[in-house]
Amino acid sequence: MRETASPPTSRKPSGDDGQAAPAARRPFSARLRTALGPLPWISPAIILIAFVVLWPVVEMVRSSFLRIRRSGIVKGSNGTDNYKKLFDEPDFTHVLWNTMVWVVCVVGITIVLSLALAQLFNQQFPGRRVARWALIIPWAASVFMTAIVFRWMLHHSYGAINTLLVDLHVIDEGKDWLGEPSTAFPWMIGVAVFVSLPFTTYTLLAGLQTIPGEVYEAARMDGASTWRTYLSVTLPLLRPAILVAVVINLINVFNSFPIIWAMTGGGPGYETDTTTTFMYKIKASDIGESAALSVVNFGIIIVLVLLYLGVNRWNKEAD
Amino acid sequence: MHDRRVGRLVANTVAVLAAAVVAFPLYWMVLSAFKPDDEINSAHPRPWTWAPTLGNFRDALGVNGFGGYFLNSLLVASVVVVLSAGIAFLAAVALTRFHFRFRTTILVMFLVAQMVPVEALTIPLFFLVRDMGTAVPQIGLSTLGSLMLVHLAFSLPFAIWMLRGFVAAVPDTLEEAARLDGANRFTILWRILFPLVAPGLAATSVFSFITAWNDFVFAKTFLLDPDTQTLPSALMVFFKPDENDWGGIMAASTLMTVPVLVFFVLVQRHMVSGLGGAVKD
Repeated sequence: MRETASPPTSRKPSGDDGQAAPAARRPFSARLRTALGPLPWISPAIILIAFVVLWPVVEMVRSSFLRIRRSGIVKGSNGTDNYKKLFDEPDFTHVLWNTMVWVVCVVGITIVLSLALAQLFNQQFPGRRVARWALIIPWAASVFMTAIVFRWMLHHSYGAINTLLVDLHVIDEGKDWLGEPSTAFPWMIGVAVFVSLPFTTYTLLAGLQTIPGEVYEAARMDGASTWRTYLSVTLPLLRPAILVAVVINLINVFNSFPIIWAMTGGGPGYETDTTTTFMYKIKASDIGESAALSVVNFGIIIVLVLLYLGVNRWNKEAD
Repeated sequence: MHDRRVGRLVANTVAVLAAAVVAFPLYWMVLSAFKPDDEINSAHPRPWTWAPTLGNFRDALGVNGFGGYFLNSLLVASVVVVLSAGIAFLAAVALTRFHFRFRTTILVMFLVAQMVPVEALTIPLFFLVRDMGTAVPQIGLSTLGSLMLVHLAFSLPFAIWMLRGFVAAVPDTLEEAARLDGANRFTILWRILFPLVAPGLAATSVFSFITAWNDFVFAKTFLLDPDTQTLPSALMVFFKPDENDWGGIMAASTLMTVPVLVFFVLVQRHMVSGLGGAVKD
């Protein structure tokens, strides 16, 4: 499609209104100027992202087909053996299952809680300011440090949460919450929700503030109940904000590494690993296989996001 | 009237409770940082202390080169914030104000770049930085430049996506009027678009600042020289194979969190309106 006359990096103009036809009739110099118009503006971003983000991705894909010694020395091609070895890992299905539970629970709970919090923060009341300030805290603190603090609070003998629960007579004696996969995983999901809440709530709050007051006025005139108004007025108008919140959370939660790494390290064994931490672990023993899992991971998240965007568009058209 | 008062009471209670839950880990972190050793390793931790001590902070600041690490972190984060805001702003203008072929392709490329699993890229990035270092020593291994460059690139996709909504919200007619008045491109960009997009820039700055400031992964990968390190490596000193020095960890974490909180406080006003640009249809 690209014209041979223009430099390879240039983007040919497609006319001011997005159609290709008119550009052809204008003199070459004018065409070139429009073609190069956006270049100085956007090329720094494109060069940086292509070079530092996307090029390593290409390298990652390439090394997933290589036989790589633990020392890092490449021993030639490995065909698809890295992938075969990965899918034959006895723990792989379990780790995939964990990942699914992790993503669905964290994103789902985060969105529901954030919708409620955003609704609350959109009201006028004295405590609002304090609460909004507090909500910023988990955002400002590093995720790794938050996870560390939770691990410390869950410590089986010195932990604050254990002491609190014993004092409230919820449990009889301190528990090793993070030592058992059945209790460690829910706690980690909780921490992941905790760190995802601020961004999600603020995004939804920003969405709520774009809804004009007249819409609610009209709903009230029609005699709609509060709940009914929320479902049929607020939620549909909030769709663009929810879209942004879900996509960003899907990506962040799926790729989330520090929470699991800091709290259980994926242990005991691979019991609480997701594909992201699993990938990091096998990197120590087999770089090629780890690259293969990275490619699989990247594929999964792209498909997840595209699926969500597709469903969203489909819903919109159905309206 | 009575209903409204009850509603307000409920809202206040829920908000204060939520605030307490959300703030508790930070409180516990700061509290633990001030607790003496015997209270930290007590089987009955109390949510207060009668014997606050600066010992843990002394340990944290006593880590060799802590001051230098702090300045390094601040330098990296500041450079990333400024450059990222500038480059993302220009790109967002190009993507909203110019119509050109491959525009959608570029947008998809940015979205895909946002999905890249960072932990998976440490090995290829290590080699990339090493090779760049042979050409330009300032961005090679063990330099702050390499860290700035990588953070800058990784912060761009999200920043551009967010700013796009902002630039789109500024009516074309404003620029048109300025152009008719004889203003050149640069003036239009700097005097008209920039101030109107400022809240969005504040929001994106927060994101690039946090990721650069809190990063462990890249710092661990590129900074091999013990003299050139950022803050996270000072924190790592307190992790021991048997039992961690929790007092030291909490004190170092507190010192690391304070600057981010200050930065947040400064830009908080713009946050909600800042995110508004990202959620417009």
